[in-house]
Amino acid sequence: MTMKINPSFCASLCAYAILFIYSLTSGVAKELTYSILLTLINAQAFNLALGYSGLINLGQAGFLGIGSYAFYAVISLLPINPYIAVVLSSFITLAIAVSIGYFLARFRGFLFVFGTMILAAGVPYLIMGLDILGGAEGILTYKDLGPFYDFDIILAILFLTSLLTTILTFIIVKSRLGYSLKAIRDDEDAAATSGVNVLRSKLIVFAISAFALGVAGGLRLFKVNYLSPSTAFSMAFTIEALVVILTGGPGSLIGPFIGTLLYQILKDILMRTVPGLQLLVFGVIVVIMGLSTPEGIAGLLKRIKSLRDVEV
Amino acid sequence: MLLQQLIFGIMIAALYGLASMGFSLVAGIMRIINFAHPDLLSLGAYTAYWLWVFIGFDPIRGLPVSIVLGLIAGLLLFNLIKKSISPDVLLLITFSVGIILEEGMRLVWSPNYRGISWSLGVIAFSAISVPVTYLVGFIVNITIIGCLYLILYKTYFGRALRAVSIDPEAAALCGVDVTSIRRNGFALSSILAFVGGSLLLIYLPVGINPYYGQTFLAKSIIIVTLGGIANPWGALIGGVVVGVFDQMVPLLLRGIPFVKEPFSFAPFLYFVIFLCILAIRPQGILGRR
Repeated sequence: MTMKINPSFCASLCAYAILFIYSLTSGVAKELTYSILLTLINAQAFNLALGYSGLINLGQAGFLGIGSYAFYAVISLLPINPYIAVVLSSFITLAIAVSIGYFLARFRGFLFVFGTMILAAGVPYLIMGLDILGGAEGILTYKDLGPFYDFDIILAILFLTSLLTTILTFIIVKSRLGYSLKAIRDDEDAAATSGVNVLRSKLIVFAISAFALGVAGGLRLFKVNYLSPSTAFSMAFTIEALVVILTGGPGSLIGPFIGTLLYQILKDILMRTVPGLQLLVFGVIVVIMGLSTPEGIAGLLKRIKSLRDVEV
Repeated sequence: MLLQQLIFGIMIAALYGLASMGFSLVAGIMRIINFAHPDLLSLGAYTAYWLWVFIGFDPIRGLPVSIVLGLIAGLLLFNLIKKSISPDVLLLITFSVGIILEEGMRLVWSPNYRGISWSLGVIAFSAISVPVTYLVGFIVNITIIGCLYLILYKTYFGRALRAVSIDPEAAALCGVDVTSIRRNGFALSSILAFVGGSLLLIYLPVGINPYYGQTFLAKSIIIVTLGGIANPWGALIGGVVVGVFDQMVPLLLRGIPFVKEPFSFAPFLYFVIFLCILAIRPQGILGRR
């Protein structure tokens, strides 16, 4: 058995190394790394579902929101330290995602997308009706988690989550599960007939992406300090994942990095020049990228490389 | 009171049906979900609003303008998305087009609610009173649905459209110009959205804001799932169910102790209902297969 070096995987590891070293340089760098990691995890979760399994999850924002609320619920109800709480709340997110996914994963195409969308649109209304979770007005989370945390540990947890997601994705793609997912993506009936356990394969993807989103959803509260149904479930997070993945390249390990880098730079520029227009610009970018290069920048690089190989 | 809610429910139901029929039409002929459809509906409502503000045209007299604008919007959108090759990406593109339209409307027309105060008096039978405008809107609505039936079942275009919806390749083999049918079908769906939006303004006294599309999307999804995707008549019946449900929910939820705000709770119930439908009949209540 020959071990081939996967350029995309190596590039991702290099990107993590660069990000790690960068985060050590200054306080500002840490803040930036924090927001980069949150975007990156969001994008990776989306990529795992869309790029590798063909599951379009337009309920990204829903899982992030559930992650945030689960974290808040755990931390305000149980007297445990926030780092353990985030692991616990991520498992809660995972459990919710898998039980909903149990219904959704049987359905292909439109119905799956519908289900995830309605999830993101419907759950906020449940929370609005519940006083314990702050209702429609939202809650200030600062008093519950403000003073106790160490920012370095938060960063480390996010870093590990993101790294683990990359490694897991890499392992999955090379494993039996990866081939199953590919088969499901291309033809679900044929895959099922050939003995692929469709439901289980989809649920595993769902679970991994929900866990990562649970971590990101919980830990983002350390900077936001305010939790309300309309902000926690904002469509902007789904758009974020869309922009990053469609610019970076769906189904590629390095794609989320390229996309996140461009997204953060663009977001910063837009914030300075035309605040309030961000979503509009991001929407236009998704449309342009989707129409011109649906394989994203990573796919473009691959194509250029293979063209060059042919010439040589 | 209950009967009055039921009458309003049926009127709004017919409108929901009309607005969602285009949604399911496109799902059938193009095998995509046009997530921008509810935002085309908002655009239609804004058309009616501005006609009312600037020329004093009520939504009914403004319909021809809505139809023309709907046609233009549909053709533009179709020409934009027809180049896409991957159906997955196409779905994400229509989703983003929806966001662009919403943000564009917010930018140009502010996020405030805008409504019209069109009144023609009230018809009253004992305890029930129905505004005449509602009645007029309902009659126009039913007429349009009738026209749609004639188009779909009595013309060549309609037959070709249904053929493409069932099997595009077989339709092409029989000499149907699939691309042109898709383009016209898409335009028809956009016209339906604009007309639906114009009529919607009659039933919404507070008016609409740019984000109305997001609210309506969830309803549309339930409606087409109920009726079986790609089945316009199913969408009509789904619309009736959701419309009546919409009017009844606040009454039904009022008695339950935990629920403080019955209105805000309703969208969550949609999600529950959606899961129930999927669990029992994944092809929709009226769906085939």
